[in-house]
Amino acid sequence: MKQLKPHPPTAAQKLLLLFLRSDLAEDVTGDLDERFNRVLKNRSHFRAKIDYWFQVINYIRPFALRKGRLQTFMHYAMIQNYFKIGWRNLMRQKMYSAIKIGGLAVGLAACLLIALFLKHELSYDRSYKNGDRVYRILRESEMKGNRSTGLHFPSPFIRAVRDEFPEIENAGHYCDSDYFGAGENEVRRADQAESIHEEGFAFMDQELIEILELPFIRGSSSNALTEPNTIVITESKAHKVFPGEDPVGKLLVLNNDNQRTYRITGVIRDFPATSHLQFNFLMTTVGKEFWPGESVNWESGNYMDYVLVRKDTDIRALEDKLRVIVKNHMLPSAVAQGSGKQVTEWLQSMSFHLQPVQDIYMNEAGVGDGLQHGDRKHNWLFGAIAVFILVIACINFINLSTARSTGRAKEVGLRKVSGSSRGSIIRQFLIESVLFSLLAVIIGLILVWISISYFSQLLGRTFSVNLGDWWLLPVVFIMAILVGILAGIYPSFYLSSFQPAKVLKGNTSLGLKGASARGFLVSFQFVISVILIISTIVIYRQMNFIMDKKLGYNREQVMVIESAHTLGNAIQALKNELIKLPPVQHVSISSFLPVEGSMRDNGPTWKEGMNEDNGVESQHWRVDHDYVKTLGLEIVEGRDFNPAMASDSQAVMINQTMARALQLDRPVGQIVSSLRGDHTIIGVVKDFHSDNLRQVIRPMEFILDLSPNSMLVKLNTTDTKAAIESVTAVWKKFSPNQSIRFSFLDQSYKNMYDDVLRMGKLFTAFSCLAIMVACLGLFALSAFMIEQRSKEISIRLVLGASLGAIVHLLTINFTKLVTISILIAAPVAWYLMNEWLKDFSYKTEITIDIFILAGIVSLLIALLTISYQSVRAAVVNPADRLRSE
Amino acid sequence: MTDMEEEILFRLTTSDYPQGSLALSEKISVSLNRNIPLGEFHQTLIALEDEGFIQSVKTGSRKSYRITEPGKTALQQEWDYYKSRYTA
Repeated sequence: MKQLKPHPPTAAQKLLLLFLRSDLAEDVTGDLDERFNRVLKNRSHFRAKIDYWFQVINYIRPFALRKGRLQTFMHYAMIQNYFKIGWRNLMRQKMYSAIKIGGLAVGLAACLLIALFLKHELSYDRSYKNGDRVYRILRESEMKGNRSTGLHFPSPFIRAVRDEFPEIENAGHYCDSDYFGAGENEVRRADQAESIHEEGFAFMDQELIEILELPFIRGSSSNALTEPNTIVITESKAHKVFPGEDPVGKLLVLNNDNQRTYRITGVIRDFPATSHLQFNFLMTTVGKEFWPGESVNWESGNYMDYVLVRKDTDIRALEDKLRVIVKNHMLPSAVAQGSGKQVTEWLQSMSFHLQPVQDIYMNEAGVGDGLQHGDRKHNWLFGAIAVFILVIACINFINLSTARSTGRAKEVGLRKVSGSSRGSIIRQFLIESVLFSLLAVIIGLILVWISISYFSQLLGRTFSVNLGDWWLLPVVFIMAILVGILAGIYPSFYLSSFQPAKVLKGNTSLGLKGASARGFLVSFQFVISVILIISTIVIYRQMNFIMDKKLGYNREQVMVIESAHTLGNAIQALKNELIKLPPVQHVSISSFLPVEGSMRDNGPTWKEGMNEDNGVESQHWRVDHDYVKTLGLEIVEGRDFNPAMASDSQAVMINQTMARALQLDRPVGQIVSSLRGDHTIIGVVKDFHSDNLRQVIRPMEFILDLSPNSMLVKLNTTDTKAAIESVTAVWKKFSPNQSIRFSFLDQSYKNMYDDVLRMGKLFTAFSCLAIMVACLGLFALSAFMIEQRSKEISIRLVLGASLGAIVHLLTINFTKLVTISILIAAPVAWYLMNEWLKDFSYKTEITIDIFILAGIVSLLIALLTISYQSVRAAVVNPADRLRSE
Repeated sequence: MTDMEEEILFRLTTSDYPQGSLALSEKISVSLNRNIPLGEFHQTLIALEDEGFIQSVKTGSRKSYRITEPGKTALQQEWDYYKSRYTA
């Protein structure tokens, strides 16, 4: 079928012809169409359309406006009059105007801030030139009835993909595993002695550089990683390590190991903040084998693979076709290696999925790729909050406009008597509303400008507002007009419906008309506010639950020295020196820590009568004799590793979950097996949380083995600063050219829940904003209602009513509304928070006291807001007011 | 005279043929180093035409523009003014 040629947006063309002078029409439409086609050559259809709209809106200038029809439609003098009257009203009722405009400004500012956040979240990986043809390969397979998704492939896999499928233009891979020397390293220039710690190392092939089209500043992109021991570094690292020099051709030494010397072949621009990949050092895979024979081994899985497909490739068909690799390579290799039935069945069940690169950030796809990912749920949630705050502000606008209708009734009556149509009065109020909205936008932009750094800090990202951005002003302008129309449409229809005969006779009950609609809107505002308050309390409870949770180990005062492996054989001597320090209680060498991001080793464990295929999938942690003591783990059965017992090299400690999974009633003394051989269980440790509380505790075993990336130092001191200094002094003796790098276990634990902490803060901030805007509206509305009933209040006071009775009279209706709101909001908030908590395996309870607390808080805030006005009305001398009446 | 007006007159002076508005606007966007919306550009063109500094001619269905003698004089005066300021 022939594809339709993209054409400019019809609505924009119609709008243009509606207002444009006819003598300009031909020239202007010709220019715009031509420009549209030119933009289309370099940009997407969507961008071309946006540009077209922008250009059309830019023609709304006096010189281009059509005379005649448009002039009668909106006569310039009339518009001027509308603005003048609008401005006078604004200045006459300063408090109400301030609340109307201020509320809208806060709402718009919240919307803009959240829009910036959403724009950032949705702009990941859009910078690749061929981004629409780049895919990450995922595999799906089934084992014991459980389907799982993965993304690690053996080294030769990518060659098969590249060579055997004509649909694939290019294919490349990378490996970022610490285990093989990527991730973090100590790095130094070959001509200097001192190393510095750097992160973001990856092994990458030349093909992936080409697929991602990484922009080179120095060196050639076509052969940067084609030779052994070559490395490409980012611009910021080049400035850091080689300030003011051209690094190309220079040498870098990793971890003080001369075997790991790399020649720099290129400098690329830093990966943009909106890239799912964030590396600083790209080391070649040419000539690199993680172990002998690795490059031809089909049984491992260390690489993440990407492909660039040819144009018009049928992705579903290609995904099916990729299964040939299993048949031709993976299965034959598994059979040749003597793998069991379960492995071959697992391979036979394997299928492949190509994930678009632009989808990776928002869709982790359940593969645990260790990358930072966005959360669609959060995006929706924040978007909803922004809309809610704006709705609350619009409701204030509507409520105040309709409530204060008495003040405008005579004006409407007079205009109608003088010949104004209802349509022109509607236009007048809409224009007034848009004027208010435009002012609100200006204030909102100032609020955004003031709060943007705080907002960036809150979300841990960098946002900026650049007024020069081509999209910003048109978007803000359109938003102002839309909000102005939305907030003004009901008041304008309402006000324009007044009968001149009635209002000119002095019917003053008009402001009280529509009270039920206002009551509904106030309730709606408080429903939203109460939902936000309940959500905030639940999020904070969950945060406290996480922070106070007994994890089964002691994370206090545990110093984690990183990159300890760079000391080589001296690491044991360092441990012996550290333990002699008075503030140091225990020292242990192990890279396996109970926090996310540390080393993990999975594999099957089985007992007698079982085998590898039906074993329990478990964690194998390599630890030393002091690990259990250092982390304060509790032994519930058996004993700890003992350095005096040589037989412990064949011993293992397990956790309670492992004992249950293997159905061991008396585990101590029993033999368990893993790919490392047979081991005797000498002890059982009480279950502890080794990962995020979102995950359940998994079966685990400890074996004695050296894993030297980290060293744990348990302190027992009140003077942590002095303890750190003494540990540092010992480190310097062993490694004078490399500074010590350490963290504390409790801080690393806290860092795992950064997203929850951030969400808590964000909810608090936006809940406060929402309730503040709602209360402002309530304050103004109650002030107006009391003003309306001032004569009644005065007569009641004269007849002997007490202050309490008057306050009760004036607050009871609002109290009822807020109470109804709480009753409606509670189940909604319960449902939403229950959904949110489903992400956590260990979570707080949503108890009734949360709802009671939220109810009391919102009721108190509402009562305080109304009471101020009520008490003020009740203490005024009634004689003064009645005299003036 | 604004930067854009001066730039339009200068571009038309250096061209032997009348220039179309879109092509002219693109050249001027480059020389002024900013994205000029077509609405703003047309407004300036019409103002210059009203002052008699440029003249439109129909080429096909669309208009092209060329500089007039008063336009050349105005541009020269603008340059002379700047020259006098910097040489004084």
